[in-house]
Amino acid sequence: MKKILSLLLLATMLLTSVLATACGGGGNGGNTVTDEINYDIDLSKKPELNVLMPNSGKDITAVNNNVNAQVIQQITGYSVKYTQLPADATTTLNTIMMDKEAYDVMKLTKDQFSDLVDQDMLLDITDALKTFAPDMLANISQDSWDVVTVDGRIYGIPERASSDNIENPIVLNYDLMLELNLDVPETLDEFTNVLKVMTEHLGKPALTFDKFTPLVPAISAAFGIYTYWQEYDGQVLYYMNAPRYKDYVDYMHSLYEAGYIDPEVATNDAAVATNRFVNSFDASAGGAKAGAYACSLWTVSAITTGLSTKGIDTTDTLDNHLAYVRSLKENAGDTEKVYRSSGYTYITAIPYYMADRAGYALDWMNSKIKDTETEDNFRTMVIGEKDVHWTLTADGAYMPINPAFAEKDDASYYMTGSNENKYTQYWLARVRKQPELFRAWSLMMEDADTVGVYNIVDFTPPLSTYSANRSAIETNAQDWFYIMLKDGSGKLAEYQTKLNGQYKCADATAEINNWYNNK
Amino acid sequence: MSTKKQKMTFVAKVKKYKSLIPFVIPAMMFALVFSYLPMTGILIAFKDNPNFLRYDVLTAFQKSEWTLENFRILFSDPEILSYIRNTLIISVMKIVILFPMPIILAVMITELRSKKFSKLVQGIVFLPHFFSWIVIVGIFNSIFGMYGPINNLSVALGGEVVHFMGEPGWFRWLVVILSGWKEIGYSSIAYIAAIMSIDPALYEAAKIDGAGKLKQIWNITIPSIMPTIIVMLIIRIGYLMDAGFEQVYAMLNSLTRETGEIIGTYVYRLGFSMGKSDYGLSTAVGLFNGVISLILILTANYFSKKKTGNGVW
Repeated sequence: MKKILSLLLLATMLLTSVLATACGGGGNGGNTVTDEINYDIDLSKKPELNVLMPNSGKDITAVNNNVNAQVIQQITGYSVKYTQLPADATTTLNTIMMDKEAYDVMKLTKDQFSDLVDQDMLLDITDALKTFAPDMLANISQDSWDVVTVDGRIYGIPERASSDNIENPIVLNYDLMLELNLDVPETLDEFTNVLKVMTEHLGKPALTFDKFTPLVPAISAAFGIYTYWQEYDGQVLYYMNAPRYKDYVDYMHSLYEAGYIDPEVATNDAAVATNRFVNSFDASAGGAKAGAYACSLWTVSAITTGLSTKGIDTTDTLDNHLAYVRSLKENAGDTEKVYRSSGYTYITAIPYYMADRAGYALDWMNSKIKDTETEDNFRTMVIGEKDVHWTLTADGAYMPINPAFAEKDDASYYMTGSNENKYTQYWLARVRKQPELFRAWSLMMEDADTVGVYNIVDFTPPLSTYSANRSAIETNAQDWFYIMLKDGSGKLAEYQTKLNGQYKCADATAEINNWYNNK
Repeated sequence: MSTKKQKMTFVAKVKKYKSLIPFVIPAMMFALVFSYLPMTGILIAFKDNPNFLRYDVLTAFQKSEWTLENFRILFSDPEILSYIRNTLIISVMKIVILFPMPIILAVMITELRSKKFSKLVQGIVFLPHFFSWIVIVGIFNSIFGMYGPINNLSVALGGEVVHFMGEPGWFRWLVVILSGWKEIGYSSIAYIAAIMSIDPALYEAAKIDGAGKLKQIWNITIPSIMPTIIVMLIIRIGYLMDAGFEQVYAMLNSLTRETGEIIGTYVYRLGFSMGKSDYGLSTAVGLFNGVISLILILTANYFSKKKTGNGVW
């Protein structure tokens, strides 16, 4: 018996030590890896590609079997195995890179991209693009390439936002406004009056938003603050350092003091705020209700769904129920300017240790972007086929065919870079799917080229100081706004000193200006 | 332990218990591989951000400079002191207010006459432990909200509406209340088990001597589970620097950061939420936490042994 026991123990010990060496030894094989791209490959061979994707919220089998994945396989001829990162991706991504796991292509967020470039993990594809990806070079703008260029070399494929949208309206309960004889406000004074009358009528604060909205662009526009980072007299500044930020805070605080702003904005998540707005359509509903809601344009879908539960017919546009304000003016005669969003949500890159197969990866991505008279790969991928998923209207717009078009809902997830010359017109088919959303979008986008102001950091290449301090700068500015909304702007100077000194906003500002003046 | 045993030399001990040694080896191996070897990683705190992605561990280590920069960042931040303070206050509040609760609950549950009812109560009080913090905070956001039942009640009784979730003065109390609601039931398991194993003869003897329920609890139940209580308390004190990251992260908002930000959430906010991989700073924070926790647990154990003779070792 004793012998058997000691044998068992011995076996356990051996197993433990083997495991230990296995753990310690993993991932060290990287020394022999080169980052030389192999140009001498036969592109007709098309090996299976391993692609690392961001989290989709779906099961990975569903990701691989998705109809869009199959379409891409048909178009490109490459079979692809997709893997996805977990929602909290940092640790997993680092482990993958440390173990040099064989992913031919990685679809990364801008932050992940900038971190990996910093660590020297991504492949320089500047020269290989000319050989393997002529369609990408032709259909992605220089502005976009600049975002992925570090010291003159290109490390990724930028995926520009589908459309540069004006998308931060204040949505108003138009039913209520008609009932109370109110016009859609254009100036701050008119807006204050709308809130006053609504608040008195509802008995509850009339304006709501969520806890991530320290800057309500529609309101701050009246004070010359259109977006987060913009130019003021030749210098790029963060909104909290803007010349008239104090006026913006004072105005918001005065609304708060007067009882026109939902006192729970600092703890509201978007669902709660949406619910409060929708409740204002229901005279019998108890609890909080707000007739004005500063939100993202895309919340209109959720609002529409909410309204349908309140007995409102939402199959067509809601001209008589919802009104939108994209920006307010201080004086009626002021010229209108408003935040126009853009930027790069995803950047696709190749890890340096996969240089040997990089040609195939680039070829695959290139063929996804190709969109000519004869080869409309990109169009098929994004919105599907004519007369199956969409039709052309008389004036050349793409109209979705429901319900077949629904299967293209996930199409953008599978993109690795976009055909910038074509994407916006395809993407609009998606907005047209919901009549009210399309109406709102069209209202917001009127004269967009004239009135739109871009957030300058949407177009920066990786900037190390900014990127290292961004999180602290943004959360602190946000915290302080909600505190000042309640308590007034008394401590603003103190907060600004902290922001610029301790949280390095001054350094980040200098870095951004340096890039901006030399671009 | 008798004084005789303590005087035995190490060699003599090894000789005496040699047949038991093989049984200890797997545990020692486990501790060595999974606890002691990884401790060498502490060195990262003294390195200038080694690039572990591109190079293997040893090369990355050699390539980076020795530095105390991470500790400088950690201690030069004027706000970190207030976050350490928040961490300690929340932790101490949790211990003082919440530590006795599971013991009381365990005594109450074991004193229930109906076994069926006792099981039902146990099931109900264990349940919240299995909810995630996000769900619980969501529920309590509406309960404590300005339009929620607590405020409605307080208004009906002539009070004022309070924005509990956005009030810095209330934040720590809410942390304790929510934490208690979630964990008291589950924490009572150990005590219930300890109480179950008390010899019933003791209670019978006490009854014959005329002791009532309260006397029995005070003079038999509590002293019998005292070793369990002490061990749990020492372990709890070891976690003093961890005020409950997940909970606080879910509850924190712009208005309550001042009283609610703890070390864990602060470090996360500094950069880890953004996809950065600053191993140096996080290791420095981890090391700092570890050292404080070690000191706390040693002190607690020392006093416990001195006063009651019970300790973890």
